[in-house]
Amino acid sequence: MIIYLIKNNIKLMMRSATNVLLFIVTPIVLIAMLSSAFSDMMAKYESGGKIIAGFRVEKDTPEAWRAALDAFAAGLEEESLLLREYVNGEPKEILRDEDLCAFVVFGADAYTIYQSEDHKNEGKIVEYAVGSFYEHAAAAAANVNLTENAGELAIEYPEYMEPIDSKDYYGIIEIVYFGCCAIVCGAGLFAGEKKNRINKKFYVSGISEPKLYLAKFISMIIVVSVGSLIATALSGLMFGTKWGNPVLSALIVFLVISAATAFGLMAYYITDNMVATIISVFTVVWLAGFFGGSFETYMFSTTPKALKLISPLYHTNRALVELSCMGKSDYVGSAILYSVAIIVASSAVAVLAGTLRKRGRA
Amino acid sequence: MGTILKTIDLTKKYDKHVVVDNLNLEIEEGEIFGLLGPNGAGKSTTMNMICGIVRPTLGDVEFMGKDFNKNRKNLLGELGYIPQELAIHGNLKAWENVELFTSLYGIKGSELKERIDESLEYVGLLEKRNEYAKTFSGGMKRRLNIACAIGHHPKLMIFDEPTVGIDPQSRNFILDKIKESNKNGATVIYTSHYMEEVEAICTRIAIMDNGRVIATGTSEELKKMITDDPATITLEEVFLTLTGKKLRDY
Repeated sequence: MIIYLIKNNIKLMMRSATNVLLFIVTPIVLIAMLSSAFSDMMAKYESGGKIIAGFRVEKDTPEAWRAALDAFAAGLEEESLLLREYVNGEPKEILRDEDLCAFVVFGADAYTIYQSEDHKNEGKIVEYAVGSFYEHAAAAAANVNLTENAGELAIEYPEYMEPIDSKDYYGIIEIVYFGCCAIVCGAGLFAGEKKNRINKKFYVSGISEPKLYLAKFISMIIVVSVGSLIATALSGLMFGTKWGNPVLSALIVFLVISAATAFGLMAYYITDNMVATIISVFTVVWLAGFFGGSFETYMFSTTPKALKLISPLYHTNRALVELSCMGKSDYVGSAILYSVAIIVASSAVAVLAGTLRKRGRA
Repeated sequence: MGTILKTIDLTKKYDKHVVVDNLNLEIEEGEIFGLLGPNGAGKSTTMNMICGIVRPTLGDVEFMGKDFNKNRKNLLGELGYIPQELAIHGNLKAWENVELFTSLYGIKGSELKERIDESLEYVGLLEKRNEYAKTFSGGMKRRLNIACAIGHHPKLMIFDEPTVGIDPQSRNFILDKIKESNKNGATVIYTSHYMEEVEAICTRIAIMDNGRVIATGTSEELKKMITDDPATITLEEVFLTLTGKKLRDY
């Protein structure tokens, strides 16, 4: 009966002070630190002074793009981001002479952005805005013939530019990040089982490897989810962190915790060594977080989009942040799919590794 | 009473090193069978093969008349294994430890609750049921270790040095309980380095060395192998005579 195994695993993990510290206290501290450190940048993005950038549209750009760009510029102006057109001149010289934060040269399928060293934060905001515009424009362009100057680009703007407060951003992102460190939650339990040769008793009892895996998997998810829920409630009370659609957000967080648990268990089942597991899992999670906006906001990050898209955390973070500030996100589907794929693949490998190890030992 | 456990040419090799060499043992139902041997003699490997933890290189184990490896799933419920290590969780209370290990055998609900209390009472820890195992003394932990392995009422109990590092009172208590279990119908396989313990409780003893059984019999029979007057010799002297005095640095 794995219900008793799950119950006692939960008790063992809940009674660990390390787990309370890691999954409840640390996220709160990091939310406070990161939201404070990045509040200036995000305040400018949110509602600060006017950001002025220059732009030029390349001559061979279809008229439909021109119309879309005008609409885009108008939308940005409402968000205090002014796009000023310069027909002539060298972009770098204009950038310097006019004291602009950025200068964008728009083409039909590519853009070049020059950023000022003196206004880095504002430059990144412009980069994010333009990047988002191209992302939406490219999707819309698939449905029209640009060479015929149809002028009917259905671009949704400026929704993707909705502001988000740094406390909301990091309040969400850090809960997700620590949820991804789920394997630490089981470290004490696994170490105890190994040290006291409890695995030997499991083996003598005849309990199957999938059942043993499931008991660990379910209990870890429950403990990390409860920890994340408490940290979420505390961050809401202390910083006023706002989440979007609560059911959808909870589902996404739950799935990413499950995926991280499965991935961590897989690493443990393969290495049979908790230190190696934690090092490997933390490296992967750190890289995913680095590319996915867990430290530097993904909006202002200069990481290539292709790398961001590889990171499961990018999809999860973006889905949750957009749900919070816009109420909807195109990344919900990919975030869920990514997590489910990791759960299925990691669980299969973990059970296989456990079974092979058991056979090898026997 | 028939044979409950039989090993047939049981052999375990690690690369070229033979740890257990063509071991043929027959353990009768209702026995307390002592397995003695110096370090590295192959006792633990034999125990592990009997429990199915280690697969034999050659040979078979027959348990209750059936091939153990082929019927492992069905037969494991009849086996109680008390390892030398304290296989308990310090951060679980006494009753939670017993619940965890007893439930692995499919026992649940009110029956499980009864078995938990019964097991704890059996080892004299019922009053400590709500205390964390980490607060227990060495002797109490050893007793809890036993409680965790008997809740499913096994027919064959395997004790692997269950009295290591505990005081004489706890040791005496554990030995009494093993005898009591045996009187209640359980067959016991017992290993220990304490000769007086083995002599006190075992009905039959096998002495192993270098992976082979070098002598089998009752304590009296083993003594008679060395001298005609068993009263003048201890089991330890028999053991040292048969296995030699050379140190075993394994």
